[in-house]
Amino acid sequence: MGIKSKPEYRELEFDGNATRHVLLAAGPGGDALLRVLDQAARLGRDADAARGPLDVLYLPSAEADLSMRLRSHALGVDAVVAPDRRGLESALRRVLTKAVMGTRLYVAGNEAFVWACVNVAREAGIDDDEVQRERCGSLARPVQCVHCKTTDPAVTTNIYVCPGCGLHVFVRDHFSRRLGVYQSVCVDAEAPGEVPAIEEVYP
Amino acid sequence: MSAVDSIPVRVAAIETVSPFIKTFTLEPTDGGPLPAFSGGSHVVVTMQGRDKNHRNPYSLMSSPYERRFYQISVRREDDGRGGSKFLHGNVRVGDQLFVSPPANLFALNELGRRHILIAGGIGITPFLSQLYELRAQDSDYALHYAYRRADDTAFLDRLAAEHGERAHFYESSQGHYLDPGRILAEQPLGTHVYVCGPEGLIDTVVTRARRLGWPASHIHAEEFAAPPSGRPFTVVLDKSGDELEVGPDDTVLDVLEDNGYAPDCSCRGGVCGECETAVITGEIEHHDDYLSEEVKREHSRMMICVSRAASERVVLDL
Amino acid sequence: MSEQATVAAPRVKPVETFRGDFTYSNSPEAIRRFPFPFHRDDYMYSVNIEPHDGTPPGSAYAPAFDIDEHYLSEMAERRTVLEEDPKRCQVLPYMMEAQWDTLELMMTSLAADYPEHFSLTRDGDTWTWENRLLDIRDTFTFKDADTLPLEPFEYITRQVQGDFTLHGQRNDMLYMDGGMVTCQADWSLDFDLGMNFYEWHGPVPRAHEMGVFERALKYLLTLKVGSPVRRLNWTMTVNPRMDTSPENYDKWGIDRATITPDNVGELAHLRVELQSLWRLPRSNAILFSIRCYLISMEELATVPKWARRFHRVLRDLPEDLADYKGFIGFRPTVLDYLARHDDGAATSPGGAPD
Repeated sequence: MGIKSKPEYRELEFDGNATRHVLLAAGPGGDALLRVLDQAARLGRDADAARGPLDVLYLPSAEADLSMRLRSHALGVDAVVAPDRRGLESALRRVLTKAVMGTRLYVAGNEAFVWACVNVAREAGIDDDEVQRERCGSLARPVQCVHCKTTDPAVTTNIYVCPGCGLHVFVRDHFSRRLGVYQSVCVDAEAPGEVPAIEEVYP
Repeated sequence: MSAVDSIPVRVAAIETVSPFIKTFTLEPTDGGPLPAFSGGSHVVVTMQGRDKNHRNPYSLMSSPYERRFYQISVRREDDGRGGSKFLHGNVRVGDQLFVSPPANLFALNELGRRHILIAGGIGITPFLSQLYELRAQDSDYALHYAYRRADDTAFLDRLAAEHGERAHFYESSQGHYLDPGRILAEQPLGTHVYVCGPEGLIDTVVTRARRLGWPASHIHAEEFAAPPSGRPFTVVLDKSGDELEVGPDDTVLDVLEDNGYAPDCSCRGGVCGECETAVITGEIEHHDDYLSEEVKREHSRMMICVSRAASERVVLDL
Repeated sequence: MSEQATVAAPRVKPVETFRGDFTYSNSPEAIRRFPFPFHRDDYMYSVNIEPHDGTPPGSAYAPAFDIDEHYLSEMAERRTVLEEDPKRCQVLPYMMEAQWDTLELMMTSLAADYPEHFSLTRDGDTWTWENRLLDIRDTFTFKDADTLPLEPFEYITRQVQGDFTLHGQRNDMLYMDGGMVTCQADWSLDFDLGMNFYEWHGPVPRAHEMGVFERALKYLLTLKVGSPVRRLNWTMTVNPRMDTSPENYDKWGIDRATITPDNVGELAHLRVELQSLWRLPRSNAILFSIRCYLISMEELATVPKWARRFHRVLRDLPEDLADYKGFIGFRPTVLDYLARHDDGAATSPGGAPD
């Protein structure tokens, strides 16, 4: 059993109980949104009214660009394609100012993206049980060095050199949702210079 | 609440609010300030009757910022086990009662951005203390209060005066009914709904909120189920070997307390979990909202404040 | 509780250090009242919660918040840590009511338990607080934060020994919603802030599988006003170092490599946390007090029963727990030292010295 603070992810699934749906993805996460749109479409025309408004916000990445497929999906949702993460986050803020209780957020992307979106939503008053999260694409972790508090948004190895303080730090499974980061700790404090083999464990 | 935890109080005033409801003002006998509390808290009131002690939980309706007295409102339940009838019929100004320290199973969510309070009948009482907090903190809130006849409640004028447009009233005898669908629709993100009142009202509000897509973490209900009556049975205490008879209108908890035991307990309504007790042998008729369905099926534990034996005897690990 | 049991005014030492030259030590009286945590010769992680009810009289457990001879040293150490890292004290914005609850609880408890050192005068909402040990005298308006030099939680916890955390209760869950954490056993308030009960206990081995946290949470959710509870936790620390934070682990981790058979008695310390939990009345939040006591192996060995028992506990502790507690590397050296004080004689039940 892993550490309890390590977040769990699952496949996005259209939630028929919600009355408004906000779908967000980066790069390969677009596939997860297409799946949710397919599920919504299968409910048929009659369900349109009951389903409520549906927003799609997408950020293409070097890994994948599914903008065309999202825009041309049969459901005919006018997908917003953002140029960068800042643009996507402000689009999300705009959508949420109009949102009401009953809204479900569906987020798919790498962990840094997922938690950045969750935190924007939390500021707007959305709780954890109103959000579905799916991890897609790279397993790279957003990590904060516990010593100097510098965050590296995409760490792929078990140990890395902190860009803030230069220490060799080990990536723990301990995760803070508030900060959206894993914690890293000095790996050779008890035996300076004795750094274990560095391996790519979060490709 | 065990005997040592109880606070002696003197009945300082009794106000007849309606033919069925009286408000009691309770002052500490020793003159010292009563414990501070948070809105939505309840106390268990112990009354020493001639034949038996009555112990009932009541929501505190006075201001949480007031420590010189507590106030409770009691609706007379003629079918109940006697506590409310005793308070209505036998308790006079100057009498001594005991209250437990306050406990809160129905607190406002401090992260809420807007709070919608829905009350039915005497279910208004926990909201009365919460409304002091909401006003003091300058929170965004609305109160929706449904009752049968205006004569049945004396809180209307006060609520209307203190809360103005935030308070909405529904008098069913005049054909005004509360519509949860309308109240809950189009509410801003971060809204919480709280409901207290008859089971039917709670069910309607909870179901409607879920259908509108509200997450469970934003829906709060308080229901003090009065312990049900049933067939008499014998409870055997494994550790002491005592055998005690539980009458049709008694609870196991009452009988234990009347015989000098002081088991842990708080809500006396099958929700808080304090009085969970291991069952050694016997079948249980569960009436609580606390134990999981799996545990209930095993008959391995019971909440002695509301649940009864389905068998003639039950042996408890006490 | 504190209203009844007035505890004798402790003799307070001048400031000693928990860093650098490490001048901290325990007087014979402080050793006698050390909260030795082992009631038997074996140890396993458990909930082990009991009422924090003012007993036994005269012990470290009796006061609501124990003030001892190290008071001035610990308050000076706290100031140093906060100067270096202000994030060691943080409270989330919606916890203001809990901040005032904490201030009231601590001021009334200290004034009742230690009237020679602390006093509180209340005239309606105008309160005057006097702390003669730190030469503080402030008059302020209760619930008006602008009338205090600091926010109420930081103001009062800079005057009380021990770490403190604040926990909001929502939807049958407790959250890490604030704290003053400067003498912690390797956890970060800044990182854990906002976590739920299971998340902040995430790194503890074994206990999750045993269901310890589920039971503890269920218990704490029904904690009552006026009925605080306590438990003990323990680990080992090299040097009398209060600030064993993860933030500074790169600086103190090396200490673990400095233990030798010659210095182990002086350097290796048993670190005990007397943890007490309080339901706060107006906020319905929980205050968690983590009061840290340090005793060197040399000082411990002056009580024969404790040396015998700690030897046995440490020897039989499972590897993963020794690893989690951070002393697996120097355990053998400590065991060699303690073995010399363990003649195999039976020990009496309970934690008190014979």
